[in-house]
Amino acid sequence: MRLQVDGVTVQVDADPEDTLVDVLREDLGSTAVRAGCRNGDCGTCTAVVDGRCVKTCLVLAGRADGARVDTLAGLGTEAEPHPVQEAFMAEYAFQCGFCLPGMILSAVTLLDANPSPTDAEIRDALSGNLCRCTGYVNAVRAVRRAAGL
Amino acid sequence: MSTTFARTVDEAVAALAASEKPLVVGGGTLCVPALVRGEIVPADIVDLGRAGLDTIVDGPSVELGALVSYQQLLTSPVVRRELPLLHRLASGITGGIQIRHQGTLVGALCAARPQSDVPAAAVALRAEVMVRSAAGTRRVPVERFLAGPMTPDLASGELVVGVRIPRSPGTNGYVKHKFAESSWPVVTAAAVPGRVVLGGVAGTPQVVPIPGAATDGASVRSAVADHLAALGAEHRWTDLRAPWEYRRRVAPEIAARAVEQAEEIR
Repeated sequence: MRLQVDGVTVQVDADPEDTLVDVLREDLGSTAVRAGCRNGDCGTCTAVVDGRCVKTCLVLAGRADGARVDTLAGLGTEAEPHPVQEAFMAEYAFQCGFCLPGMILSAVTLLDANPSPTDAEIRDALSGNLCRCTGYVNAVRAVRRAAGL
Repeated sequence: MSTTFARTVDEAVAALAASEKPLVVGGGTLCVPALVRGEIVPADIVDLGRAGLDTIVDGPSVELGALVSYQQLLTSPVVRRELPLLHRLASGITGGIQIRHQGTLVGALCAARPQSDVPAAAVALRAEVMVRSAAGTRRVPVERFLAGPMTPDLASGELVVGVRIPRSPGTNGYVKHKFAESSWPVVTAAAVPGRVVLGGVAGTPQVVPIPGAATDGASVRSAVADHLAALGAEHRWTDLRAPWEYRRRVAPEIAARAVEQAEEIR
């Protein structure tokens, strides 16, 4: 199958009934999607597939054949982080960082569609991601900061 | 095992007919994890992701393809205008932005989980389920399609291609009760003129008539309490979120709020 991952076209020999998270991690070596619950709950396998922010543990690899996959790794660089990444750092919105693929990409997706969200809308958008160290208060604050609110 | 990423409904139906034990994958939010865990061991997989079923068609009824996501329900001007109850329902779907992009209304109907958002709302809106097989299409009223808890009216070789929902732009309300943002609902209530439909109290949605003159809170609470008191023990729903006794106690209030919401936007 063929994928365009963070702008780079790759060919990979994967079973179509594998999940996309496993293709990205096991076959392509990405660490910007993570295997957490494999049940669609924790959100850390999140990537943006053909423009839709999804949990890749719920996607059969064959369905993504030919798709454009944008992961957290392609969002910003260490020298030039994405504004949402900067805001998460400024607000101490994470500790271990395991949940960041879902937290950051959900936040980016929210702000793309809704540049001035209410707190309720922010909480709602982040609700598909589980953080077990920092909690959610600073994450909400970070999204608010990224929105310039 | 063969995996078919069907390009058309006909291709999906043919693959289904050719398999001894197929798994149909729609949004994937329920069945893909079950597949990964080995809880479902199909002989073959038929994936509908590319079958062109993600369209919303406006008409005398609104037709929602099987792959229409909750996010599409949220952003569709047709749904907002003609089926505001579904718009409201989609805005409260558990699982954040990602599940809204992946989960589908039709998938929720096929799962037929009593505690989920969709069943009671679909019954309230008088949805009709379009079931396809090699033999053709049959249309099933959603109340009949939801034959029992986790038991859709689907025979071997059949799949759901979409639902048709009569336009319902006016008075309606949808309220659910759950314990945490990321929890499944405990009790849901969908109110349309003349009735309120309850989810999460029984194995299948419960329709309680609400006459136009009896939409005040006390009357609704009383009608729902009477209905539940008469519900046979074998139909009462309990799951790990709450026992039947709790559901029975809160349902009248949830129903009253749904009717009140409907009255407010009349």
